[in-house]
Amino acid sequence: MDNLSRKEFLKTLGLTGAGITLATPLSRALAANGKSSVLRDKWWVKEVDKPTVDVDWQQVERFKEWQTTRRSYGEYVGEEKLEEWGETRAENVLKFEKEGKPGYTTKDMALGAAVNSARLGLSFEPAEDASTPEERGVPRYEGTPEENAQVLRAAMRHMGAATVGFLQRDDKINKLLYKEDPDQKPIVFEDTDVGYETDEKRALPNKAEWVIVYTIQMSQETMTRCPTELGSQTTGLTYTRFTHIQYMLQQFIRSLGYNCYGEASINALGIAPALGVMSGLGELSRLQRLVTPEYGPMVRVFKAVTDLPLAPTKPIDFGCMDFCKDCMKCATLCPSGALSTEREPYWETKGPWNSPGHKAWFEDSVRCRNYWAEVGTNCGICFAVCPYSKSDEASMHEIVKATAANTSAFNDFFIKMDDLVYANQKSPEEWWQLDLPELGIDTTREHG
Amino acid sequence: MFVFWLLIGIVIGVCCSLLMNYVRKNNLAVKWYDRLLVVIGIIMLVLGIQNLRGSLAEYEPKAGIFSLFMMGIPAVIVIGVAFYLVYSRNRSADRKESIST
Repeated sequence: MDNLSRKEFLKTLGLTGAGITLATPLSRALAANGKSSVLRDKWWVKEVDKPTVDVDWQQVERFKEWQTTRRSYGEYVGEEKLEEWGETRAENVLKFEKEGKPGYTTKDMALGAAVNSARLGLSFEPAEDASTPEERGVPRYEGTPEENAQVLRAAMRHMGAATVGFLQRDDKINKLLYKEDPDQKPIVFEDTDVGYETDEKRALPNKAEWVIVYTIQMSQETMTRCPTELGSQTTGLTYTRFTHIQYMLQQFIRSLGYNCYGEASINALGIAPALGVMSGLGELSRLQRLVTPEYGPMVRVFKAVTDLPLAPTKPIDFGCMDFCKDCMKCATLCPSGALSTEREPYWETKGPWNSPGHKAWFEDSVRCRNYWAEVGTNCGICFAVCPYSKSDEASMHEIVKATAANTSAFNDFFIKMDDLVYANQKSPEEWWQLDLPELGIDTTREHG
Repeated sequence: MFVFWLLIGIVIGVCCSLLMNYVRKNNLAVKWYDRLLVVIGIIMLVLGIQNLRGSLAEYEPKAGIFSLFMMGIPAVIVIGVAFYLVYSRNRSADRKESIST
């Protein structure tokens, strides 16, 4: 240390240490500063005027939700098969539990029973519990659409939503709202002040011009235990959380002095991936679900309609659809062969369960449901194996996603690396030994 | 996490200081690209450590070890090349000096 003064030594030491220590938080703070759109600090996500999925709006018609295999499986395979499906599913689950099959043991079943029993009832009609500004003797909340969007986003994050986008209803967006809900009740648009529900219909007022689209994060670590009863608690818990978030959202908007129309049941009101794409929460993918830049497909998408004016958010492009053309992991690992292995998306639907009018990798949904009967629960392998589903602790994921957003030249390499180092499915028994964060998700992800 | 990266920063800072001191003390001829190679190597090494740590936090040890090797080995090679360049340059300078005397 003869030739190096103490001052120089400390200077070098301090600069190096401070540089490395502050680099990440500082870059995040600088990137997040002043932004109020859906996304916080992802320079590689571009806002675009048209979504990356080709849509022929002339062909798009309002879809009846009950045409999906969620509701009409019996119609597509026959009532006999439906009955058989129900019996097989129940028998298999019981058999697996008795055998102590990992993921179906009594503790797994107990977790499922607990999580699913905590759901609240859902309501299309605006809430009536929270006090309104009028009842409190104060004027209702007023703000610009941008301010309202920011306030709503902050409130929804507090309630447990992950990302939040907004749409203004027009002829196109109205086509993405279901013509008929899962219970076959029509959703109609009316010139009325407040929407309502009768035995015949759900009336959505035309003055309720804004659609709130939001995601709720799912546990990637739990999803890699699918298809098992344990793995199904990834979606199970998310749906339970959704019922609580929608309840709070409707009360919040009522207490601001406005109305909020929710989903009358799970998967109601509108086409979730389509609304997610249009509001810039993510892109459509090969697995026919929304893939977000933040959490990949590890989200569920929900929606509500309100008369609180909100600044719309634009669709995004982060190279996902292009990546899906090269990557067929979800399709090749789908045990039922329900997902498409065609390189390019196509206009032709696979059955009446698909909503036509856009270019996609339409899936054979009946095959998917048949497999659910075999395993006695829902699946989710396509979600778990998607390269975008990785967590963000290792910086490599961000580098890969940023690269894929700008060039497809390295897609094959990234897919091979993903195959090489990541387990597609993990041991359900091991899950019980993990020290996972609350709800199995890292709620600090993507927020500095 | 903060403490971990602070420690990494201190370790790298101490190593760099000692290295600079050694270079000055022995009057070694160092070119700009030697320094650049060392900086690149350090960045790769830090990236490898970050990915190892991150992957372990993701319960993906195989990915972590793979990342460390993928970035750690090239980092060591790059730093090694820089050291070798400085060594060979100064050795040939020493020879010339000893021949001329």
